[in-house]
Amino acid sequence: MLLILLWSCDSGDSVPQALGSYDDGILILNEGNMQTGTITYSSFNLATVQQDIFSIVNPEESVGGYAQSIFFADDRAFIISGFANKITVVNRYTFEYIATISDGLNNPRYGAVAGGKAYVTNSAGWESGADDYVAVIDLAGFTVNPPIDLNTYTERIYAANNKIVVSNGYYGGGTSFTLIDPVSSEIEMVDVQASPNSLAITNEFIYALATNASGAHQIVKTSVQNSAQQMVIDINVDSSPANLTFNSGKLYFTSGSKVYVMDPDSTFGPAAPLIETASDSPYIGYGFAVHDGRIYIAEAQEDFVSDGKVLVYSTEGAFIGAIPAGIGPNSIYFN
Amino acid sequence: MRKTAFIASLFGLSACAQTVALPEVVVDPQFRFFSSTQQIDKITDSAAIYNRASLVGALEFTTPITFKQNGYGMVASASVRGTTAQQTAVLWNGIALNSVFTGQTDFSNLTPADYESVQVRRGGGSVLYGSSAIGATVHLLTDLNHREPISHRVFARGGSFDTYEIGYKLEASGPKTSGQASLQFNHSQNDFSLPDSGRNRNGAYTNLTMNGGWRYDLGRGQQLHFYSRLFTDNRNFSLIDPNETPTRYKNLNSANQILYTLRRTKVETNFRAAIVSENYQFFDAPLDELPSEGTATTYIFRNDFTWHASQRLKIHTGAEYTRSIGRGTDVAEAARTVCALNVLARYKPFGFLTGEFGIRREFASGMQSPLLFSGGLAVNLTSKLSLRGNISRNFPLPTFNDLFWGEGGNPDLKPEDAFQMEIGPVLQTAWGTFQSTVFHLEINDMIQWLPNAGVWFPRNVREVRSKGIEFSWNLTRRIGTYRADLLLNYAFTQSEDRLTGKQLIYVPVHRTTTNLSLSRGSFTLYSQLLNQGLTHTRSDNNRRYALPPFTLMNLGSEYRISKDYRLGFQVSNVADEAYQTVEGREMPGRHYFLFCNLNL
Repeated sequence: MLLILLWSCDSGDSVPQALGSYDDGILILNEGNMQTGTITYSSFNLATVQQDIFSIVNPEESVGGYAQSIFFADDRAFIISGFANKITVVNRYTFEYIATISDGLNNPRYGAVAGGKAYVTNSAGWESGADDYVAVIDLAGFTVNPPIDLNTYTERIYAANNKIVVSNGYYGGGTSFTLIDPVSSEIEMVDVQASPNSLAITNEFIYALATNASGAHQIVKTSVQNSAQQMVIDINVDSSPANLTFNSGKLYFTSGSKVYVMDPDSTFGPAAPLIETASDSPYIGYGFAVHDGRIYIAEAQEDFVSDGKVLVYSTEGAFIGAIPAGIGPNSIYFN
Repeated sequence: MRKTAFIASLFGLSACAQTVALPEVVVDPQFRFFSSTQQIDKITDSAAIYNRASLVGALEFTTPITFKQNGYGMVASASVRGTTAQQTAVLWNGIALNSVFTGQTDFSNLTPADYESVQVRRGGGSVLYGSSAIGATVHLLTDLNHREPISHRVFARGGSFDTYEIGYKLEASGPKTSGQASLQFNHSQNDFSLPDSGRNRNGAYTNLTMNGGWRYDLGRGQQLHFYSRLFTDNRNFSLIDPNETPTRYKNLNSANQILYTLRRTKVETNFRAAIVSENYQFFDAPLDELPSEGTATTYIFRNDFTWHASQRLKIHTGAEYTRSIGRGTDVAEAARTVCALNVLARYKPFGFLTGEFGIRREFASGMQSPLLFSGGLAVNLTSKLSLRGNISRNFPLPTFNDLFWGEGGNPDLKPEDAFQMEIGPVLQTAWGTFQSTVFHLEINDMIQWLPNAGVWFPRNVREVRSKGIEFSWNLTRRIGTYRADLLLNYAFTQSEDRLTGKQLIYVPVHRTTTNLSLSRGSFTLYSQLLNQGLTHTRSDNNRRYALPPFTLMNLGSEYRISKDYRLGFQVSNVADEAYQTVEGREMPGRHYFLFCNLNL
């Protein structure tokens, strides 16, 4: 028997060890591919970086394909997989697997927590927004409560001012946001006449970054006390703005490869960008966060078949460093 | 005087059809007469190879074609010499079967048992077959030269994961006619165990193939052939995560061809008309009432005229008209006409030297396609050693999905531009035939789908350079009453994106296959081995995510109880190796099947 076998000489990476504790650092969620999303960890000083921490700590489990976002409740992290219709629950500091929630989910997107319950937006079918809904999950035993149907797109969701706020915009469709009272289950839909892609909420106002039917970009500012009180702030930028975030008294958003900052009381948009990242990927700004004097902006590789990274700047605009991430880093969280 | 004798002899031939074998009609003269400068792999009707449910099983251990499968029984796409599935053409009795939408052929839909001949012509063939024939062409031929008045063949196969297959073939012939019809039904639950635990979910599939052919001798060197094929399947897509929404796919493909042949001593003309249609439906949820779907029909008219000018010279001209019309939920009604003219010449100025040259001009609606050419030489250096080589320039046309897909289709796409060269020796020794080919391909304007502002659309941006070496060894040896057959294939392929310098994804650098069979009398034992080296899944070649090298081994046996009755048993993946050919898609571990073949 003549058998020729060719063994490719694989130098082999040494098996990575779990860090034990993933606190005091940054968690980056990478969308991944159909097989699985991943999570990257970096210490705040950017010196320690570990890829795919979920698989290192839990080799037998998987978070599912096309990971969308993570939400947190006490010391637990809830990782949403859109493709696998499930939420994987882990300890946010050790990243040890706790449980999987899969009932009642259909293309889940984002989650927010109020009163011991998680509210998770689901896209269901991609053709229309009418079948979108908000799933309600009791976090004590992960039991599923009846969902909330809003009959329109449900995309981003936030918990603020004792309410759950859902943005009803999806790539140009939908023109409102909805306030849900978690205690009384009252629903109030607020029309903003433009399709919102992200919301920033303070004690006094709800800011919706949106694009209207004529293609004009704007921030629609609605009073928390009286939702009839609205003001429109025009935003003059070249590329569609996104990632509206409120942090330490300022509003931030991205437009193409640039980051803008403005005063929340201002009646007009910023004239010039704070940061120009000089990235040429069409997916710069795929994820964005502002935390503790720093701006984090994620850049995904445009073919979605190789790793991206997260660029780190100070809130003054100085470049600090880059964190290597996985495929399609889409959101950034902090422990 | 000579002329009348000639015509009389033709009459004589047709009158004596029962006792004198008619010369075999060459269904595909281009393949038959103009392939001396490239390596041909002939898949033999042996136990290991023909008793396979799909063409994947028949080709993966016997040729350098790499198959990417989304799981066992799922869509299988071929890649050879670092090219893509769109660049491997499958020809059914001379007609291309590649999908109008994707440009690919799903090899899991093709059943080798229906064809008397399955051959692979390595390297470029665009001048002969147009678009898609870059890396290699796979030729499926139905033989209609049966002699027996009537014969039946029943075939059955059953094995692990509730997999079973039954087939029936009828062959009949008469004085002027010969025909066959076959039916094959395949079903599998496909719930094999996954390495980490659990079972493959939602992998069940069912398919039905009907094949038929008929030949009628009209006399005076004229023959009429009719070929038909119908394939339908219902296939569920395996889940990676148990909570994914189960999806499934249905296909209905058909191909019908009528061929008229006229032969005289020195000339031959083959005129064919064919209709090839494909229809797919994709259900994105179990109760999806509005599946996405597509239908495409292609009408082909082709005339091949071959002139055997002399012992040394053969000239061939071909004219082809193809009209494809497609429509569906993702492609608004679209049509394309391609007219092609080609001229081929084979010249043997001396016995030891053969030259083959060809040019082809295509006129495709809305597209500029320059002149395609190919030229090759085969030289017999000694009685045992020969050298052959060839160069060609090909221009693969964009597929319907590339041009017309819903949101992202780009009607301004140009054809890709491929240039290839190959050269290699063939050595016959007492220890078998050794063949080797060094190849180099450059593909420019390669179509790649990239996102822009959230919408993915294709552009002619990619540049690929693929080079490597193929090696094969074929040996048959008799030792006393034993007979051993060995087929070994090795391919080294370095296929890189010229702009990034990285190896293309899903192109293994090393791939080795070994087929060994030992027989004595009515008993045969065989083993097959596939060793695939590290395969990248990331365009930046991040080794973390690369598919690790794997070795797949099958062992089987066949017992010929009588001339008409064969029984066999095979253990696949003997080592129970966990492996993937597509990231995240597990393939089955050790499994078994039993087969039996009955001729009546």
